[in-house]
Amino acid sequence: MSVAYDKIRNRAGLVDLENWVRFEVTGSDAVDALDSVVGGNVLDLFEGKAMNTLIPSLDGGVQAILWLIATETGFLVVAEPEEAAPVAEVLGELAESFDIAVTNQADTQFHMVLTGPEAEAMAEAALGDDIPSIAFLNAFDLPSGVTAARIGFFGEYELHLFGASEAKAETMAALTAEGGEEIITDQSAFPVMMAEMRILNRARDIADEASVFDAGLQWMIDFQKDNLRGADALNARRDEASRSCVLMVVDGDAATGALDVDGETVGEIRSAYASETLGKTVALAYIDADLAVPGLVLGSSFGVAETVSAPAFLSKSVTNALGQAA
Amino acid sequence: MTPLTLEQARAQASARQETTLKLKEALIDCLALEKEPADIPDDCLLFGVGLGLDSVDALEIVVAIESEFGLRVEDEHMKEIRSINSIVDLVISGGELQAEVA
Repeated sequence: MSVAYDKIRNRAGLVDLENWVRFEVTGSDAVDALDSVVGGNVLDLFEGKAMNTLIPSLDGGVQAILWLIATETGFLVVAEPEEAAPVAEVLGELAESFDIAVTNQADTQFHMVLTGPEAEAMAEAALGDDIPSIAFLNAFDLPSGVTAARIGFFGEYELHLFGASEAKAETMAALTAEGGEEIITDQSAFPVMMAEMRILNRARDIADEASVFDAGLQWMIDFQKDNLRGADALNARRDEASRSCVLMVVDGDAATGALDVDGETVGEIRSAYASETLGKTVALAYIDADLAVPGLVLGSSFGVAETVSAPAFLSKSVTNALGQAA
Repeated sequence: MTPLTLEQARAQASARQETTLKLKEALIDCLALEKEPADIPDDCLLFGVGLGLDSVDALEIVVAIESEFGLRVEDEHMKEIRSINSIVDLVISGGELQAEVA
């Protein structure tokens, strides 16, 4: 089992997300500006809350996937590194037509994540008693000035920390004092962990021509918004989905390409990874809409492939939480 | 597990999609969601990120499942009420169980 995967899935991993996107958007028009470009309803995003949403492209596709965190002063826009260019482009356009200030925090603010089934206890011991009170989709400013946000990519407990670059070493030291230096790890396991949970990375997992509906990301959009970006294109593509993204578990090597069944091409495996938890390949595939349901066992060109419900398994963090709730 | 033929797979998928659509329509109705069935992905989580429902909605969902599909949702099944797909799994397995009993 890879070291990074093992740490995050079985104990805790502290990962520097220095290369991730983070912009601060402030100003009197911040709400209206962001609401005009993201699919989610920013008017309902109150201070201390976080939202996973996307920027629809004007042809009904996905221009960027991001998180918005409402802070005391405005909004923090957080996204994976691949979203840097599209997010910067859209925010730049907004700055020209709204009364907002857009600040790229990449050089002045750190971003790290403590994640894994033992992460919450470590964070509480290191950062204080406020930690357990931070619910998923919530953010809280810690006494140290660091913003702690519960947003999610891997299906585990995740605490994303944002703060001034000068406070980075101190924050990291506090966490490693509790978890040991060995909790520090890298981002190498992120793609497989996200695929296991069916959490999509736009660049890796979504073809340029795929619509929001093909990708199954329409839940990130409030279709009742009057100002929904690309509304006409989205509505036109709602019932056009010919192929849909499904999670598959494959008895075969992690490979991508055309998915053939009984000599007929029924889709494409877009991304595939060896899942160390499953001992099999986990894949994100776009398959014909009339086959896009879980529970189908197919003899495919990649080996026996089963369509499964997401997530591919319940993580230890979720299993532990369910146990406590019971 | 023996792989399905493409014909078998399409038939199985069609039956499941019928149940899925029925469930989505029932949830839209009982929760007064301003959505169309196509706006709700099958893997969409119901609570928190996803549809953003809360625990009060869970009771409405149980009522909808029981009335729409004629099933009784026991306490041990509550953990299955997390996504459209997981509820469809519950409905299908519940139907099979009832058929066995009958």
